[in-house]
Amino acid sequence: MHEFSIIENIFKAIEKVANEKGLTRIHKVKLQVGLLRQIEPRTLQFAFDTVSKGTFLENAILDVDTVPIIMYCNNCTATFEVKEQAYICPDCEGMDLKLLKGKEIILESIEGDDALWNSR
Amino acid sequence: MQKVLEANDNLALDIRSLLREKRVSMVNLISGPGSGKTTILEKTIPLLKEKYSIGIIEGDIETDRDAQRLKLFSLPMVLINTHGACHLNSGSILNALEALPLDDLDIIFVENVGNLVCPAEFDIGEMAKVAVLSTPEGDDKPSKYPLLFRESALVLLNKIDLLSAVDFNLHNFYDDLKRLNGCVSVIEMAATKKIGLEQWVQWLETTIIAKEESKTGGKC
Repeated sequence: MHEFSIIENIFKAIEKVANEKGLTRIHKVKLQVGLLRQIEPRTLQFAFDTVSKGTFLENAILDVDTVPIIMYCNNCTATFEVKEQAYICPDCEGMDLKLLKGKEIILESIEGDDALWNSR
Repeated sequence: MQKVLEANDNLALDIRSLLREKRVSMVNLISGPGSGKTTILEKTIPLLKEKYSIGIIEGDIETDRDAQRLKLFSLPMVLINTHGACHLNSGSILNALEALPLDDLDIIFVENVGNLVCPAEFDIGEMAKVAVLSTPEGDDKPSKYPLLFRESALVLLNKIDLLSAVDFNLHNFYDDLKRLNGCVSVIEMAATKKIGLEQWVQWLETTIIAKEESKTGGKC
């Protein structure tokens, strides 16, 4: 149930942005979550509903976009998506890799009564 | 872009530079409950303590039982009770470091909360993550908990003496692990029988102690 630890951090991040932007009631929260994070969306929603009860986030919709795992091969400089847990370069079979994407948890946007905040 | 774990990750960076400045290496030991982390430390400390100055950060959800076991060595030690939280975070580690005599230490062992998921999520500024897996837990654990095994520099495969008594296929274990992390090192260990301890101490001495570069995953 690490979704609860994660959601507490998400909650703090939303609170920070909402305070800055003066959002008092939130309808929708968009998140980007990397696949490496092993986050189960339904459990995340459950954790979100539990933590947000009685707060300005109650009943807000949590919209989660999953981000694929993208690696860079230090040997041949190829970039590739990891599928079925194979961290092996498809071009040169190198295993000395650098993570480019797939571990992020990013608050993308918040929609509220008063305004829309978008991180991009 | 609002990175959700930014606060934790920034503190972890602070910890890394603090430890580099003090020339202290920190290892983050992560495993499920009962795989033998505390026992491994009990057997490792006597082999290192004549030569190196050791500090311990002991993470436990409740109780000080593991800390009591390690107290016998009279080393600088901080116990962090997370009171329900399934992992340590960089904030609690930074507080713990303030209570340790960093100027005198060579290496700090962090025994994380027994859990294969959450501790892997939270960077605590360690130089390397070391995953401990015991054979009774099953050979499928790397595939089921990929983040930890992807990011560990070393896997201690503990309770290897029980191999014939449990359902653990070594071949499958190595296959799955190497797929996830082709550069990871593995030491087969039975801490209570003193199997693998010398290799582990050697690994610590050559890749961790007095080294400056931290590593995610193994080194090819």
